[in-house]
Amino acid sequence: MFSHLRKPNFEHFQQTLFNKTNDYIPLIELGIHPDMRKAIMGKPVTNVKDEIAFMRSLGYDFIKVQPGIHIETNRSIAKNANVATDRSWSSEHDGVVTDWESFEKYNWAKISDLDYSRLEEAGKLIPDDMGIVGQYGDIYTTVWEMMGFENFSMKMYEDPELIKAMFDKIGGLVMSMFETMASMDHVKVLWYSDDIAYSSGLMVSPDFVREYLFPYLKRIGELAKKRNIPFIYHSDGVLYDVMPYLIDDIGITSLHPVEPLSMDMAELKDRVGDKLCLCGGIDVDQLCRATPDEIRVLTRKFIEIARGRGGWCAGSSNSIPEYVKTENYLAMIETVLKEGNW
Amino acid sequence: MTILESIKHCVVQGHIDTTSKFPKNMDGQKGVRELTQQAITEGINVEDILTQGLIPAMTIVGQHYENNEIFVPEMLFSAKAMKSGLELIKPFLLEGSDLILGKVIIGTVQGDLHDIGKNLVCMMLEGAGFEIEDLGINIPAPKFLEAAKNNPEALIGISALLTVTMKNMKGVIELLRANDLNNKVFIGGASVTPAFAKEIGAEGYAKNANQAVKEAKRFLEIEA
Repeated sequence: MFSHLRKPNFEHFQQTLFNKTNDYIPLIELGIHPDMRKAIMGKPVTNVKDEIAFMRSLGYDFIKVQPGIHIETNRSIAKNANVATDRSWSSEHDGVVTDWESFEKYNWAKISDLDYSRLEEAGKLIPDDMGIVGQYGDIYTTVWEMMGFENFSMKMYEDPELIKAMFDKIGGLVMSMFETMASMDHVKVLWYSDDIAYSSGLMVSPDFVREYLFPYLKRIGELAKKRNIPFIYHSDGVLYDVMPYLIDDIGITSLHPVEPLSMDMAELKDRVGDKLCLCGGIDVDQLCRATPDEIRVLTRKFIEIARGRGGWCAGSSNSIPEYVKTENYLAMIETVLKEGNW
Repeated sequence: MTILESIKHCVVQGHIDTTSKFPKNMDGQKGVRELTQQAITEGINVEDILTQGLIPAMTIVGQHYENNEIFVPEMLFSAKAMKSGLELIKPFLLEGSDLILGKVIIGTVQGDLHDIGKNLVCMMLEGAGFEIEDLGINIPAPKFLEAAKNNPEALIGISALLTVTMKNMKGVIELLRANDLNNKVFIGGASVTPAFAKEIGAEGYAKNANQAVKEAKRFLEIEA
């Protein structure tokens, strides 16, 4: 597909995430929509074998795998004429758990419900030159989605014990996932994703995230450190207010996705580039609306920021939804493969 | 502290009433609801309650939010506190009173169900003295048109979170203009930029709820 396609080198990818190499720029994505995969491969990418073939064909060094679980929130569907796929979102007002009564009645998922079969299969199929990134997240997001953001905000002050109980429930499940993933030798990167910020700042106070969410992240950081594997954290938005905690207390090695409306890649690189590998950054909006040539120019700008310093994995500033132009996504990858070497 | 200063203080602090546990250090104390009722009972002019208590308080709240001194939950408490006072004085405010700065029709664009940001904008605009017609979420262009036809002077705020849904904002503006409606439109949402606003012909852009108030005032040439 690409004239400059590289042979995967997972060790190099890992070292980049540790901010230790400076040879070339690896590729990274948190998610690539099934329709995009189908458009590129000419067939649906469904099983682990297809996933490996797909990621390899685009120049990625890894596949990302999650444990299986379903947690009911309170979702509604919106139809959108611009795309074939309907989108669903949790209610931002009402949730499935709004008080102690609904908390007690809720049919909570159990640790025994967690499904690791895909991770186990990936361990058997992954070739030596690629690796597995174990990913999950959303402790904070699941709590507010289950409660509805407005109710969650009120209960934060009116009934902090309920908030604590919610974090204990969801955090317990998610921690169990990371403990299991960290115990699997073939999982060689941990990736926790949970949006805590907007483009203008944190959604909730730094004190709140430090008290309720960060203890879990710290435990994941300890798991990664014990295994000596990278720990990527994903959150949209401006994270400067909590950056010292993420780096020093929690011990993330890599930060994703560096949205351009929130944090400027060059500035972030100057501020924390010696401590963190930065991941992503290529504006999803541009990937949707620009031309392939404009995407090449944009990607070159990022390559120049990383030139001589490394510490950047190239990718979109969030993920690749189905409404990104396929030719733009491929232009971004092609530019990195062709020009992101030194 | 005068009663109007107390109302203002309580709105800034987000203290709704005696039953409200927020903020902790005001637990059990009178809040905006009781103080506003007390002010009405004492015969204080409702316009003074609005212009010296509630509105300036929300201006401060907006500044605190913009400076990242408070966050969405604390802002919600302040907005609810303000609303508890506003509801009490509303029956006393005359229809068409010049204390109402103007009307804003607002909605989240079709295909998009997000509304935390939109609701914050509504609360802040209301707190600044605007009348709000909140169309809700997932609003098709013809619904904006219908509301605009009924209110040709109203400002129109459109919200979208995603790149894919913000494209639908353009359709709303095109439909308004095709029907010779010149309502000023301002847009906002996570993916929206000033450049995009310009590109689709929106007259304004707001990065956050406080900026939305500033934009609405700018349209009406009111000092922010």
